[in-house]
Amino acid sequence: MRQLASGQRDALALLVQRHQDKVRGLACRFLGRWDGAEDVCQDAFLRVYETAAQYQPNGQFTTWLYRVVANLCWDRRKRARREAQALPNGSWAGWATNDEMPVERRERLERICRAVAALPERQRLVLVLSRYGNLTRAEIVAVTGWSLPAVESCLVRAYRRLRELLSDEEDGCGGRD
Amino acid sequence: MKHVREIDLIELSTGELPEAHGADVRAHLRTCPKCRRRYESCNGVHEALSDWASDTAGWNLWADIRERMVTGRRVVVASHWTSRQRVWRAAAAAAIAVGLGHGAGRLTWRHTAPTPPIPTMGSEQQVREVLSLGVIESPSPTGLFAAYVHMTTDENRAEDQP
Repeated sequence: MRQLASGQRDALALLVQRHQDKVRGLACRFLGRWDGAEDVCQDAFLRVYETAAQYQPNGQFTTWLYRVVANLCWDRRKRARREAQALPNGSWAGWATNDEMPVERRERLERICRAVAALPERQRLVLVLSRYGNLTRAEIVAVTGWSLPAVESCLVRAYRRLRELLSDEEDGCGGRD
Repeated sequence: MKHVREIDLIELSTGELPEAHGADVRAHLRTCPKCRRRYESCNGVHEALSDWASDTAGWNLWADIRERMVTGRRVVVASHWTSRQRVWRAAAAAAIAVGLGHGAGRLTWRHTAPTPPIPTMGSEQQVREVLSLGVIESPSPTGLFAAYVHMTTDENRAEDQP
């Protein structure tokens, strides 16, 4: 980050290479859109570049980076809600599956994607940061700015809701058979 | 008996529970079937979420960012449509194009088909064709043909003269 603050673009290239997969995974899973997630990823690293001089190394870089990503995702969702653009359900699973996948696996993935999409946004964000960002509760507090009880409550409710949704989906599949 | 908090069960399934606290929770789970069931359901959700892997093979974000820094323009990424979705999109586009073309044709097409020529009284053959006399001449059960022959032969015409 010090090299980046002094204007060395190679340092940014290194950061991008190291963190792009995680950042993209977070953005994709929260937004449910591949193209929206790509935009967020570009914006996030550009913001890192622009604000490198103000970066204070008093925590992990990933916490700071994920905070930037979370804020960008949140803004994007707020903008979409204001413009009455619902995330099309079809796009949730579209980027996570492909035609070469076995049918069973694809159906399982689609069930999971639909279940996560059905979560309220706060629960979805905490779940994605915890499960796919591998952040601890304290780190999620640092990323989101929410209180520890709020983060814990979101995570517990997310798991409960997912349990209900995934078991409903399985029952539905069993009923059709 | 004090049961385990759900957040601790979640963290136990994700492997993030601190070791000392984790040992206490595991000891409780050995003696409490209710908490054991709750832990198994948390673990089930955790395992299910593991299936959701993101595929980033072949993705070069740095190239997009570098282009954006140089040109100042946002790099628009190609749509991540599956081949099946592309086929459906193409079919839908074709159907819409056909529908629009049909609608536009109906609005602009005028009837220009040539009308059949009105036959003028000319030769006897033409008259016979127009009046479908061939039908009358066919040997029919009603005897029209015979009546016609009777009327048209010279002998009968002579008898009919006053």
